[in-house]
Amino acid sequence: MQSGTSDPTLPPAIDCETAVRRLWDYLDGRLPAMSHREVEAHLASCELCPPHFAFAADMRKALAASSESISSEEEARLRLRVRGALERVTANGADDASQPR
Amino acid sequence: MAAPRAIGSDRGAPWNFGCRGGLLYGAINHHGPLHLIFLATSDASQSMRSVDQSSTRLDSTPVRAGAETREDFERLTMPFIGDVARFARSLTRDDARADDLVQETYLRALQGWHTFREGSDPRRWLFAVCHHAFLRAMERDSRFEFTPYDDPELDSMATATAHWKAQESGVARIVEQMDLGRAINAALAKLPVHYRIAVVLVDVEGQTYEEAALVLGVAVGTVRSRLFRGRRMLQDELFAHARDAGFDTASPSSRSSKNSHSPGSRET
Repeated sequence: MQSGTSDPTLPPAIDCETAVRRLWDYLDGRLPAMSHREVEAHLASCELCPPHFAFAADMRKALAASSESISSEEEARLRLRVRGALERVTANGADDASQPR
Repeated sequence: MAAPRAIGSDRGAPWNFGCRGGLLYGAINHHGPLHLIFLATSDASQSMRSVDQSSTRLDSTPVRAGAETREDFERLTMPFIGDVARFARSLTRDDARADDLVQETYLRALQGWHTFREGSDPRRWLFAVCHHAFLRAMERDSRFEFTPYDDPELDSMATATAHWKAQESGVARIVEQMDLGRAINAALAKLPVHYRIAVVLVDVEGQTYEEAALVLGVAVGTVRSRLFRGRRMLQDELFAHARDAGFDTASPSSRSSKNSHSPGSRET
């Protein structure tokens, strides 16, 4: 390869500001392919930006893991409570059922 | 009958609320045709009571649905009560309030059941009802605030900049060593409601931007804006939590010289 010519297989280089502006779109996988590759290439060559991306990715993972599971007992208790409430309101509204909406 | 009178609207959002024939209604129009209508009694102040008080309020509110309708409703919606409960907990971060919100959601959903379109996704529909019930409650809460959104990419950049500053002060290193899950829960509860909902739908519930937009009744771009802002605020809360808890113990020697980097600086 001649000196001074860029490798056509590599995406254009981007600076740190451009890379971090794309942080969330990159982590969410919503960048166009070329833009995604540009960020990847930047992260591979920049020693300063990767920690920002890594921290953001860790926060995203922690959020995903924060979803509380509902146990089958809790679900059954809730179902019972909601069904009771539904029964009560439909019983209260039975007299109005024939009225036009 | 008098024409519907709009009493509130979200600019650009395909939903509105109004009063007609003694009934308070709310409508969401996701794809053109009317998608969802909530009906409540004409006593608007009563119907707008907080979620915590909802069980007493709605138990006394007649619902124009017979037992057969209720059976149909329950058959299609009850399988998703666990999903709704999880969503409600993510929104409220409080088990008791979440249970109230689930009940409120199902009661409101039954009230608007006749508008449910066959073939629609009941889970998404329930999430939309839950989201609106939660918003109604939060509107009466002093913490409710709505901030216009700016350029989402600026929020991305601000996220990295805040992390860089936290690296400099040593806070980021401490946060990385914390029980992030517990801190995330506390931080989420402090987010303004619109941002919290966007973060919960996408990051906690794992919905796509498009799915979240359907639940919220807003444009995909609005989801993105709220999400990016919410994530930035969440990160700020995490750093503040670390500082408040006195975790900022990093010695100057632990701050490497490479942290002089500012994400906004021009480098390649």
